[in-house]
Amino acid sequence: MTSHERILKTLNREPVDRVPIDIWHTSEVLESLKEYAGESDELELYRKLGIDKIVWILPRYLGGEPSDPNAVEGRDTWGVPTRKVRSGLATYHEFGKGPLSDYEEPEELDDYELWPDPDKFDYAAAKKDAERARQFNFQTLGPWMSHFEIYCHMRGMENALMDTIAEPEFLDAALDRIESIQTEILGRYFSEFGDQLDLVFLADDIGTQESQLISIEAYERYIKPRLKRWCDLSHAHGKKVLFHSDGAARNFVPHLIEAGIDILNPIQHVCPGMERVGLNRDFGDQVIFHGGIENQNVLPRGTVDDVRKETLTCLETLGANGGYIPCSCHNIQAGTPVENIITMIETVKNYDISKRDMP
Amino acid sequence: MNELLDQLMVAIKAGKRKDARAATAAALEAGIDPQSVLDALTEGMNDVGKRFRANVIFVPEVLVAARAMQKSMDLLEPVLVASGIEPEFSIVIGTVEGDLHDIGKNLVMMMLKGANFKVIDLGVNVSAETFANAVAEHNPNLVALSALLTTTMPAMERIVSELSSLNSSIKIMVGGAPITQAFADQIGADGYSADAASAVELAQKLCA
Repeated sequence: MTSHERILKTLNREPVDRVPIDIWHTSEVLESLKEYAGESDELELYRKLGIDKIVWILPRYLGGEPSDPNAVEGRDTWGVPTRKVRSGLATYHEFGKGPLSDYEEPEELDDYELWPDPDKFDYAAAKKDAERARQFNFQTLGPWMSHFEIYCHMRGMENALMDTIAEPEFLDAALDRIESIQTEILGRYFSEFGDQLDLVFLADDIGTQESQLISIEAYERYIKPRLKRWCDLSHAHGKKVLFHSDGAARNFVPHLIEAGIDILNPIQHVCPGMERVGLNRDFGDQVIFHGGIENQNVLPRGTVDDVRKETLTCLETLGANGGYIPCSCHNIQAGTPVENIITMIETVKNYDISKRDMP
Repeated sequence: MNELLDQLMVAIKAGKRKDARAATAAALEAGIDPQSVLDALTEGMNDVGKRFRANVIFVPEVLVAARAMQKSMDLLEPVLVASGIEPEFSIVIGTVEGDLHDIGKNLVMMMLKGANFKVIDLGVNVSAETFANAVAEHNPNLVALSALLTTTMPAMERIVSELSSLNSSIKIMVGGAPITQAFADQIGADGYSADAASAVELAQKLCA
């Protein structure tokens, strides 16, 4: 069975030869895995390690000012200033001051000059990435789309959160822009990549470590209808939706399911309400779970034995009736021992699926 | 309670900054003593903290309440200073070296201010040396460290250890998404709290 088939059958709740294993990682972790496996090509590396990688298809943005990828300072696709920052063993692109942070009236959004142009992405190069992923029999995923998270970057997070209470008109107007641009990009994905695109990635982090980021009322008012439009569009093109929210997102899950998501990621089960058994009991027949394997303490700081137990518990709870694609709960962080990552992968590959209630 | 102070409390709870400012101005104008105005603010923020902890309201509601509180404080603070009213406890706070994330730290800070702590904010990406200098300069009751990234947790450990070796009586509390009570114990911090409202309770306990 190829990786592509293994993922597809898991999504369709059909029998598989073994449980698939996906991986999310930072660039530092990719380098450490390449060194470990003696393999410099990323897709070859996944094949060699037996990872059923769902490969990102993300065309580079050619609009805006040309930027040097090695430069410390730059801008993201939406014109938000970014800066490379060293954080312990890791390097991250941190966001600077949101370009919309001083705006007051919806009309001012017309003056913003750095709205991305859907025609200015390098779809041709990305098409080659998608073709190559197909040659390796991997599933593909893209674009990276979000409503509120992009708004938070553009507006500054504290402003954005307060806007859900104090500035409904401005928030609506900005979200309309953010939505329509990405709806166009999504359309381009369907026409450019066709069958070479498997899954649509939609994200909005609506959970914190302890609770909800915003109220359910605000979610239903501002985000849910917009998410539903993207889910409907994806389904109309025969694509399933993988939806991402970190944190304690439990109270949103029924709304996400109503909006039409097919796969829920990353299942941060240490957060209140996200406990694996309950999540599977209440939603396991309505969404596919993707992620789960604890990445704030167990993967970076646990022993090999801790990782094995954590992975098995995920398999036995989130995967009790199939419908589960194990993966690190978000990107594995720099400094995580390679043996922990390999243990995660091997524990999934060696898991005896005859124990499960379902295929 | 005085009607103006009631209005102030309602404005804080609802996060109405213009109302909060107007009620504060009116209360001071009416000659209400500044300590009573401060008490009304603290009571309003205390209610916000309670509802936040109970998951009745969330970060946005706390942020607008804190913004309203700040508008009130802008008017009240000079009057408090002139009357010689000072917060009983002080705290030095910052996000640890390598980490630029501050929404959690800022929430803790706002709630502490709301509970009438004097807060010395060192911002983000703060080294052990900067913390040590601030402790020497301000002689606070407490130091609070924040980290969001798993990769900056080692920096938190280093800072706790360096501050403790310089001043064994200094009390240090820690928090941030990946931080747990177990990690706090392991690195020798005096306390951990999971959210901004519990951080205030912890700070009050550690100062008592």
